[in-house]
Amino acid sequence: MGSLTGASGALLAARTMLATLLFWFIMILTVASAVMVVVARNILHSAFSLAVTFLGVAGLYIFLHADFLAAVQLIVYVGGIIVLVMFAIMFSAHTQEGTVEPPRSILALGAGAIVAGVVFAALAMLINRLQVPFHETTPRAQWQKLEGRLYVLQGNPHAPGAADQIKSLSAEIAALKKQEAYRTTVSAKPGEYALGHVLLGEYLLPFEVASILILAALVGAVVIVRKETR
Amino acid sequence: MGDALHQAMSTQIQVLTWAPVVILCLPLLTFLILLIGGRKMDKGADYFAIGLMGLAFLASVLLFFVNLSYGGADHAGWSSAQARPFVASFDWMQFGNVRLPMGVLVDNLSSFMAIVVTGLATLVLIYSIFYMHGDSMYRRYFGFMGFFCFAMLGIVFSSNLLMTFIFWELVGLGSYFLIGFWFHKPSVARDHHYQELKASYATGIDERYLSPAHAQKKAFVMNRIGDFGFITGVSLFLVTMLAVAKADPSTGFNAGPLDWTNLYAAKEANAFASVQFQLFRFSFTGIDLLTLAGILTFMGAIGKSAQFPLHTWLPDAMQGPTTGSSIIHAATMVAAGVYLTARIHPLLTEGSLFFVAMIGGITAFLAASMAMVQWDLKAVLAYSTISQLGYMMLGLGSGSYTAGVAHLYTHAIFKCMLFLCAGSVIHACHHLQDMNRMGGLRKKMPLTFIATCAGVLAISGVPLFSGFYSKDMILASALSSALDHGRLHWAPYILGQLTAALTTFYMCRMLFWSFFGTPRDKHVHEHCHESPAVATGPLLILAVLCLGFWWSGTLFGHTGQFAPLTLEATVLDAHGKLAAEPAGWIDAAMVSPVQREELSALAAQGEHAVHEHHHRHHTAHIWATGLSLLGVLLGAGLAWAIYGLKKLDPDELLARHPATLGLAWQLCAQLWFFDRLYQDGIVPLAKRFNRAFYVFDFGVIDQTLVDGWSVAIRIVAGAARNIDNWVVDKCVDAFGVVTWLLGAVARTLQAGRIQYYVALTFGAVAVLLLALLLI
Amino acid sequence: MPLPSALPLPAIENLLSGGPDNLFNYLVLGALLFAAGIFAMVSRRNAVGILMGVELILNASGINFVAFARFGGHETGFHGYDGQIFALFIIVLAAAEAAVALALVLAVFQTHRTIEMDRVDELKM
Repeated sequence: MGSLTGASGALLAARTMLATLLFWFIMILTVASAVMVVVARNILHSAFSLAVTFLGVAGLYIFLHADFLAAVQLIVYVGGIIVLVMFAIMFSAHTQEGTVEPPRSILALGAGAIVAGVVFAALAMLINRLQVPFHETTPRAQWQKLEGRLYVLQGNPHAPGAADQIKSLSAEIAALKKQEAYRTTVSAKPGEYALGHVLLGEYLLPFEVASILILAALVGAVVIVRKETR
Repeated sequence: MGDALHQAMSTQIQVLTWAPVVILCLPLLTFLILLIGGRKMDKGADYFAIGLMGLAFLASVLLFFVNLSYGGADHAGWSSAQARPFVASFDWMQFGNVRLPMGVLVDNLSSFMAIVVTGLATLVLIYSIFYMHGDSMYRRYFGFMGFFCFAMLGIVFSSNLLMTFIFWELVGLGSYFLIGFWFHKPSVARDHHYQELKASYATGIDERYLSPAHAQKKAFVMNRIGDFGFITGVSLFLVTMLAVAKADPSTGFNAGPLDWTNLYAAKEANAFASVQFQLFRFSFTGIDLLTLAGILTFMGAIGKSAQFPLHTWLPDAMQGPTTGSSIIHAATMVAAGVYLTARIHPLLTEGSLFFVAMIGGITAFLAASMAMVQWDLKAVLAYSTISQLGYMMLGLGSGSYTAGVAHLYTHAIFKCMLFLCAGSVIHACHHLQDMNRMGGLRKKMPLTFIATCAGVLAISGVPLFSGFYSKDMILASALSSALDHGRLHWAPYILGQLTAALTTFYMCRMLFWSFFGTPRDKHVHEHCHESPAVATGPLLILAVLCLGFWWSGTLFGHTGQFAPLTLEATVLDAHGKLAAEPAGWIDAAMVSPVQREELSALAAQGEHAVHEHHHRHHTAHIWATGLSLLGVLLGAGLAWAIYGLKKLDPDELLARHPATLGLAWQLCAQLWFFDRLYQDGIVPLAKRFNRAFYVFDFGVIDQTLVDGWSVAIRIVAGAARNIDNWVVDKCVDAFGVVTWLLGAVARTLQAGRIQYYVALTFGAVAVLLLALLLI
Repeated sequence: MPLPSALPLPAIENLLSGGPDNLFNYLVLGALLFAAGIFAMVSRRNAVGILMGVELILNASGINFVAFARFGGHETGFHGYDGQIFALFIIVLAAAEAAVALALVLAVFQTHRTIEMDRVDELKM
């Protein structure tokens, strides 16, 4: 245990950078497509943009260690809701304008911009005031960070005091890893396994209620759409 | 060992707590289900009711034996634990620091009474399958019986005076239901059966008012008069107890001032003597108040047990089904008065006890004399019931709790049976109740005849039959009370002793006239037949229970005394100590806690006092027994001479002595003019009072005060209307206008497009948020 | 003249640092999506467009939940999955809502032959 090889350390750094790049790409894609959803005149373009936004959000979920949620996002939103939206658009596109929306009034645009702007401003201020640590504080994040420093130190081991620092960093990393291992055993297994446990354990009642809600929505949708036959 | 004992005790406590609840609920369940079940329950109503009542009976038996062993298990004989009844209760109401609990009280008296009530009810319900067969309200009958038993058992188990009163009224309602069960029947004035036989009926009853509907009303009103006294008595008890609790809060009487246990404890501790009351310029102690409260509460018993002077409702109550009469108006409900008197017995002072004895003696004699001249089979039994209830009161009033309660039990059984016998005869003779058209039924109805014989022997007090023990005890205690106190205390005893002879006479008269001799109505006699087994079965069971050895204590007792029900058995053993063990199981059920304490107090005075006491009671007992046996012989002999052998012609006797016998006969036949007095004297008087009140109410209150008030109000209202129109209304209008104007402005915001609403909502939220963040 | 403290100066410092490991980025993205959704809801004429705005808002809140679950969950005493569960339920509700809302859109279309919301104004008094 302890010392990393130079190659794996370089790989780790490269991986981190790639991930950061990918993250920013997804961020920009999501925001851009969300803006497209809002501004596109053709409602079909909006729907496609929305699909991209959903994809982006799914990607962000992966970055947030919510893999299962990302899958659900893909299946339900991209695979389900977008399709539903498309259907609705196609069914209702028999007017002369087709799928292209008539231009919006200045009043509507202005009102939308003002309200959205005020809301965003409020949210931004709220975020700015937030009193939570912005960087991840899990043991894993910490030892990964420390490992980066260790890698740099190992690059020139003959610097003054480097041996002691390497020693103390290694001990710290080992302790953090131990802590993480302990945590993972305590909270059973990480990820989907634990999520499933929580969902069908602590949240079983909301889960069942949600199923009833979906059934009701299904029946309600059918009843609403059904042509009245007399 | 200690653990095992504790275990056994806690099981006993469970049974003592819950068995009464179960016993109470089963009949109520019968009533509710039969009532709610509707026509669906028509078929199985009888078996359903019998089954539940039988269960209640079994539970009662269990309760009885558990109660006997409870507290007796670890204490020898009459321990303090056994002297205190078992009570389980919860707080029902709370006023300030005064609490009124509700609960069950189990002691020897209540647990044995429960057996009597449920047992008799079960047998009567079985009998009813036969008697009520084909009635259009068959199901309702069983439901009402269930309701009645529920209420009656409520009285039996109630743990305080107020709860007793509540169930007392419910019992009255149950009785009302069953007296008027055939409410659609016309009054006898229009009943052709009655008109045919009018000549032979006793003429004291006003025939205009003899119908089920009227009878139930009469019973209800008569009971109201008694219950007025009852509730007043309850209030007096409450006032007294609260005064006691206030004087000494450490007694804890505030937690249930009307609880029997608290009342007894207060009396025992002589707490009543210490409180003083002041009314105007009179001052009196709690004891005076206690005497008054006792007499007033006893008024409830006068009404319910049909004692003089409120006895007139009971004969009319015979308009109900005979089976209902047998359980309600012979065995149990009318005995509720006796039960109540037994319950308050420890609280009665010497004065109120004498009042009870006097009422009992007068009732016993008057009713017996009325019974002598009746020709209606049920009427004889009805007056006989009143008379026997009088006996019980006499026993209680002369200080012998045991005697009164014992007679309550024995009478319940033999009188219930006699009524069922009467029902059997009436059914066999096609609803004929007139003894003049019977005769010679002995051969046709042998089983009914045997049962009737047992009943007659028991009620007459023939040795070896149940009545002998209880009745003798009553007479013995009345005699010893007379010997102790002298003067007026002789009156109840003499009346009771005379009644013993009269009882034998009228019962034998009934027996000889309807079962012996030649049939006087060939048609009736030919068609008459013995009842089926479902009717005769209960009769024979009850007949066996009329035998004396069940009651004498020799069956289960182990002291070998012949009549342990008498006082001596409970008093002494040879060394002047209290007997360590009850003489027999029935004894334990019938000795009052207070009586036991009196006896122990006597024992504390020394051997001499005990022996003197013993001697006096023994002498009284021998004399009373001898005289009553003489009375039995005389009564039976006379009845046999007149109605059996027909050596003596009653009409001729009456004609020969118009001034004495004729007058007496007339008096009896007119029921001592009580019904006449009430119907033609008191009722018109009451009506005149009503009229006067009506005139006052209408003339003064209605026309002057109320109408005058309304005129004044109208004037004020006229002024108010103007103010209202010109000031208030205009103000209101102004509000409306302003609101309308504001609405017109606000409406422009409501464009009906959801996007405006969205924008407004989010905009408002965001602005609020911003404001919150910036400030 | 000092700038008002409400201006997001620390935010600028926070932004871009840490990439995927920075809670701030996710929150800003959520706010942007939220604002875009509101803009769509207010300004879109097409009913389906409004619905898309709603979906954007729901996604924004989902992102926030999951982000807080990742970064703040351990300190607040939760086991770190409550936020994900919430997001999951939001997705469920969104699906149900979408089904019903689109059915409503079709129903509106059947009666009005249009789904432009400024022509559907029966809520007006």
